Amino acid sequence: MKDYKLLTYRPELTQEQFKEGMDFSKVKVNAGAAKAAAFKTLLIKIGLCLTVVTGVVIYVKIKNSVPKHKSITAIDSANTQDSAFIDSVAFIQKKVQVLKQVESLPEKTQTVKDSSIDVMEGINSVQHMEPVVIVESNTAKKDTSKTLASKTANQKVKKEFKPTLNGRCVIWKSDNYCELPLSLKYVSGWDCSSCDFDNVDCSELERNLIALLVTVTPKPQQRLKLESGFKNISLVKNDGSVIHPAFLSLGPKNYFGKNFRSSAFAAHYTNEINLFLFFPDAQSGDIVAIKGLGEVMVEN
Amino acid sequence: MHIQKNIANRMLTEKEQVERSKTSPACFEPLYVKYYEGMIRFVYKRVESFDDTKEIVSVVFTKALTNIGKYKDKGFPFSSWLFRIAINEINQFYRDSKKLRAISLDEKGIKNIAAETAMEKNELISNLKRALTYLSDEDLLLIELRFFEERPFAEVAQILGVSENHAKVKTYRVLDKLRSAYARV
Repeated sequence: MKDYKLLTYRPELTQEQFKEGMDFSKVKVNAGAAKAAAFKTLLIKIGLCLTVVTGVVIYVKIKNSVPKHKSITAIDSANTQDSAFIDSVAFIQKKVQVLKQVESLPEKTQTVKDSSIDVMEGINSVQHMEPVVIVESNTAKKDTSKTLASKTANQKVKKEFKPTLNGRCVIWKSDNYCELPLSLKYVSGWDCSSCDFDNVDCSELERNLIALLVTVTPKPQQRLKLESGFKNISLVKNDGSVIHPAFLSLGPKNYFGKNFRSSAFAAHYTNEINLFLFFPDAQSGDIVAIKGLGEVMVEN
Repeated sequence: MHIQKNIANRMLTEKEQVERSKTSPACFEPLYVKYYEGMIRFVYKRVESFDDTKEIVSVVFTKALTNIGKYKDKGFPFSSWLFRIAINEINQFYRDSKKLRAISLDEKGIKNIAAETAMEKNELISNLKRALTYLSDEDLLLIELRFFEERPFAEVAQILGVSENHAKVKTYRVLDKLRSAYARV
């Protein structure tokens, strides 16, 4: 409720009163002053905006100039670009190579080795690092020591590696690749554009293929996608080589061969995906990298 | 036909004056002279002191001249733009001064309201102040424009920046509100 003042029967204004306050020159002067004040305010606002923008630009430049700690979690996000994925796989390869070379050094160069391993800790910040080539000491090594060095290197990789895939990957040992466990959760469907599925009969799968069962619980922003030739799924082997799956199964009756073609394929699922990847060769300690989902080490 | 032509010429002249004022403030003077009296009357109906009225009107024209570059002709007369500035300035004046909003009521206004609410004149006057307390600023403005100042609906709509039909509907809703306010007091 609002109170008012009621003025009843007020006297009418006279012509003198009307003329009394009429002064256009005053209005003109006031308007000029108001415009000048508005212009001044505008200048101040522009100045403030420029200061803020300059500050932000300087802040961003300073922030970008500091070397960023880029780990293999770079492909953790579903929106990761192809280049980031390729960089990540290349990075794992180089890491394996460097570790193997460091391990193959003779005992005498232990101090050098230690310092090399220290350097390895900083490797994450240098994604495009060239592989280290150590020539002299390798030539004197025997085959047995090479195997030993390789094993130690694998252990190092294992130790250094931090999985970014929310799940695990195991070697699936089965006599019959047609009998996928029905108790597992598989993808319920998919969106696919320009797809050529290249469906394969499971009985045709070669017996010498190694099947890996990847169980993953994707984060909310992650999607399982498939690219032509499964180029988005890689297996980085202990020797640093990279291979893609020869076959893939998204569940019973859904076996796709390597000739799979798609411009956009995204799987539907509830909360967990079980995916079978068939590689010509795979062993414990290898790393499976799935673009958009992350990387995980193969377990027995 | 002749009258229509004259009106069209007058409107065109006013439009031209407005357009010229955007580049040259001196061209605003004819508009100032033309609307000054109407503006004084309009503000004086809502403000108790004549000195305050003059001050407010001066601010209204200063603001109009300062912002005339932003004025866009939307088919309403130029005066409706000035009245809207005046309404804002009056509201600002009451916010700053903390004074009670003044309502000027004359014989004509009382008659109009009495006719609309079907009440006795004496009863209406004695309770009007309390009944008006139930109305919002916008409702009060409608009552003033339509019944105290006897403006046609078209002009009320132009001042409020709404369609004529909308103004009519709103006015009759406010009258209903006023009738129920009378029932309460």
